[in-house]
Amino acid sequence: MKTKYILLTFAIIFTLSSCEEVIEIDLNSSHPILVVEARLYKDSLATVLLTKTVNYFSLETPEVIENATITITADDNVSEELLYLGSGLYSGETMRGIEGVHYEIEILWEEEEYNGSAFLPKQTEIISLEIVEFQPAPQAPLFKNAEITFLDNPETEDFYMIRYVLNGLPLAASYFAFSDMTFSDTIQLANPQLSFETGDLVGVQVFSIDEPMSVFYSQLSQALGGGMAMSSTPYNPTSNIKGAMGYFAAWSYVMDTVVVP
Amino acid sequence: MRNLLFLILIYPALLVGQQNYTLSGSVTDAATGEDLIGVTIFDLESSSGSITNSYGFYSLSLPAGWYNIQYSYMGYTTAKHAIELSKNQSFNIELTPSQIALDAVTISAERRDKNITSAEMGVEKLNLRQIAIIPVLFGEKDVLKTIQLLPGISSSGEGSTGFNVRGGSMDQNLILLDEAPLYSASHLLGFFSVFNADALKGVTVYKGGIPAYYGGRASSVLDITMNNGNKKNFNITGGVGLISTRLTVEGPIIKDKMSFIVSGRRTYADIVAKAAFSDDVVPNDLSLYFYDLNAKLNYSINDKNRVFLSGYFGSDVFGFSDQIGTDWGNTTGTIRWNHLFNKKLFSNTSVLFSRYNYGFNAGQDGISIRLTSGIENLTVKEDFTWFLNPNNTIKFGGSSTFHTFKPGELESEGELDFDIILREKSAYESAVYLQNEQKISTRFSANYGLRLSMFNQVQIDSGLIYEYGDDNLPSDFTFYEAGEIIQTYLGFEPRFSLNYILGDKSSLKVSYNRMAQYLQLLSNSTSGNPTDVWLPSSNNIKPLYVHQVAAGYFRNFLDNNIETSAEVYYKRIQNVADYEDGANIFLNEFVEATILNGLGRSYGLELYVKKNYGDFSGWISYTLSRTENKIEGINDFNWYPVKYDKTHDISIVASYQLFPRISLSAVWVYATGNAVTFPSGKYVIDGLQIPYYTERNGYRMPHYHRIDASINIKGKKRKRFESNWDFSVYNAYNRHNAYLIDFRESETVPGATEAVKLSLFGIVPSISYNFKF
Repeated sequence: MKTKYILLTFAIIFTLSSCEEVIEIDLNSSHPILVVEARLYKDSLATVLLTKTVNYFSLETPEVIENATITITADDNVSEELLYLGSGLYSGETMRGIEGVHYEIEILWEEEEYNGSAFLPKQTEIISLEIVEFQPAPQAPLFKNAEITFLDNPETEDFYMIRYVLNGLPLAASYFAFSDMTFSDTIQLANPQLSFETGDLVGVQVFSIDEPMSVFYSQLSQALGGGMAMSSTPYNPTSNIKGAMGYFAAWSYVMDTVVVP
Repeated sequence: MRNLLFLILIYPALLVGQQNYTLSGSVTDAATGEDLIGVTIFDLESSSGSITNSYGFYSLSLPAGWYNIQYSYMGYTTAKHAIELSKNQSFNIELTPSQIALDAVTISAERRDKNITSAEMGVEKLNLRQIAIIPVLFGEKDVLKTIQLLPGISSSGEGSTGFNVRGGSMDQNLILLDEAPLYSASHLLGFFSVFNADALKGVTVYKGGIPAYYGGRASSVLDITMNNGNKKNFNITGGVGLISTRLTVEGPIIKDKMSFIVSGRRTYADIVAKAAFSDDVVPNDLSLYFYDLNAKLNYSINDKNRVFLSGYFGSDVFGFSDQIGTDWGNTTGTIRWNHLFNKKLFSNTSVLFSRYNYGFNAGQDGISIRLTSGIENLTVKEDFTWFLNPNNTIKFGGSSTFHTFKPGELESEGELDFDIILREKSAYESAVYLQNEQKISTRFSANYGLRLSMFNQVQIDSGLIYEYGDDNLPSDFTFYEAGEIIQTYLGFEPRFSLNYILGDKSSLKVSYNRMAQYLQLLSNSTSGNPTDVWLPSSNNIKPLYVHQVAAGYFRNFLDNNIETSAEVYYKRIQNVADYEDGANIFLNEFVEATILNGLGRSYGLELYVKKNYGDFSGWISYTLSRTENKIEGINDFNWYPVKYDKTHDISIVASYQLFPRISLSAVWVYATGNAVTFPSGKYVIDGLQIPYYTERNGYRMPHYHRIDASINIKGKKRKRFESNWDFSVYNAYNRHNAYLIDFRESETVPGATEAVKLSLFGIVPSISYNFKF
């Protein structure tokens, strides 16, 4: 018994020697940069939200941009200038996303021009969505994961992003982007880090995206702490809009739901 | 006529008087029979001298006559030998360890002003007893942590045994154990080194003035030799500490001819945790340990031939039965043959094997994955030492190494059906060298030489070799047959160092070396991880070439009891490598495309004050330095500091012999924080706050400092049994030095972001018991 207390003491000393604490740190203030969230989904109108970067420790919400001119052009040279709706949000009125089409975006703001492009891929098809049980390690609790199976073309390199919706609300930071690495005609996967409870209504969205968006969201995931171990130094996710942060996404997507038993 | 006849008669005598003869032999420890490296042998009158080589062999050529030869070495009683040199002679001598020097860490001189008179600069030869008294984490005596207390050498981070020398990255250090290279010198994520001090004989660090004998790494050489094994008596040495236990057994197989040494160490963090906590907190099938095993056999066949066989096996293991686990480790093997051609020509033939591998496995319900990577090499080398005369010692030789690189394999079994196997790579690395240590005059001495190296990237299995475009994807390819050479690089590596003695107590030294490095370590952190991957130079990755110049002023005081030095250095690095923003270096077949090359430079000032003798001894070292890179595609092509750049680095080491059996030691270290990339702003995407970065490595971690202290109490010596207790405390004032700083959304204030510091160690006491019999 005495030996056990001695060992316990040393184990506690070791365990408590390390610690985590919130600290004050002096960071530089950078010049505000344009931030773009531009979406053009299949069969939907384009929507663009423009904001700016702020100081890192600022408690204020990012300032919106109200005086920009945004034009989206399809590869058949059909263009549309978006209408400002308020709160930094701009929307199209006529042009809707079409599979297989390239789109260009041009943003004019404070005498600067920002350009980007995106390709809207073909929509996939969900085969099944079911709940599977998984135990990540001995002694760990049983996880209930959502496993999705969907179609993939083995002859082309395709990119996807998966996003989860729980009880009708999108799960923050639940997405992950990837390319099809196998030659199979289906893809089946589950996110082992997401576990659900009995009775949850789980929705899984499968976005077909282009390669720059796959890169952007993979890097975004790392920036949020999901996978910095795979990279060498902190960095800004690569935007497909030159000179700005954010993205121009032209996507198709499908969704299915399941109730967790 | 009579004068002419006289001259004719004495002419042969005159010739005899001019003839040189060679005194040679070996110097060993009288108690153990171990070879003594670096023993100074010199004639007291003429001051002509020599030193023993790595195998304890010396050779000294002098004109015929009577001499008083002195043999002196740190920690040993100086011996004198009167000799009439009228022919070539062999003289082997055993030196007796000095009891006074053993009790106090004060050391009687090999040659007390060696730092003044030697042409070597940028070299530190560590005394293993100095290593033994320095307090370190968990009481484990550590070679690598000790060298980080020297000027110009800094730690890569808290708890890490990775180190940086004069601004070089971790992979620019050549670490040799009995000549075999080690690719990962740390255990347990960098908390301990792989070197069990009980098995070691000598440690030499070259920061600059690197002789042509060494090559393959750009910044430094850490040359570690193992003990050969006591040739006279059986000994058992060991210790039990807070985190590990160790045992060394050595002894003669044939007395004075053949001996062995086996030394092992194992930690038991898992045993402690399982005993201290219940099964639901710490599972019974937890494995968390590392081990080291050193073994050596040496055999003196005759006076002219000796063979050595040595090996090192070490591994780290962490896991839960076969469900999930990771392991990594080194294996080295060395076979060496010393041969004496004659009194002046000594050769060493070596065959060396070295391997580092990493593995990770996970599995459940019939599904499993296994990730592995590693590096392996086989070397053949031949080295000659020609003791030409007292003023010239010439070394020459060559080596050839075959490298095999396994960048990564991910294999699955069961329902999962995918494998990712990055292609193996191979290469030949060869070199020849010639160097001379010359005493030019009583004031001038020099070491100079040339190393020529060659690196061939070789195709293992026939297939395609790619070149990459701006999109990091293959833009062109060429087919190569198995065994075909893809790319060749050459290295022209001149080396020299000069010493000019100003007076009895001071000297000026300058040195220059050019180094070529053909391997580099892909690392995603400052301190290194087991998952780091070694990659060779290739058609896409150019070798590193470094020029380093250094100059120094050396001055001793108080009869060489106080040594001081001031050195400055400047390094220019060609083809320094860094990774583009967002580079994915994990299981990436096209990882070469993410590497960017550019220029690097490093410069600094090193100040050193050391007290060698007396009850109170120690040193103070200070380094002021800057290391930066300039690479197109990073930081807008501006110079930026490297991750491990530290402006100020200070170490104060003190040891005091309080009583004959009680000694106190303390170490205080201070360093500027590493250069890091912190956010300069933030923005919102999809409702999430994302950090926004500007300049690379534009910020500094908080300053690092701590003090460690220890007290060593020796037990009463009984016949052959010796013991001591070591009580130490790491980080005695409990400073929570930052290990990393993370930026995240606040858990308490919605919408706010905060910086969170993670520290590894606060105050850590430890106790260990050591014995020898």
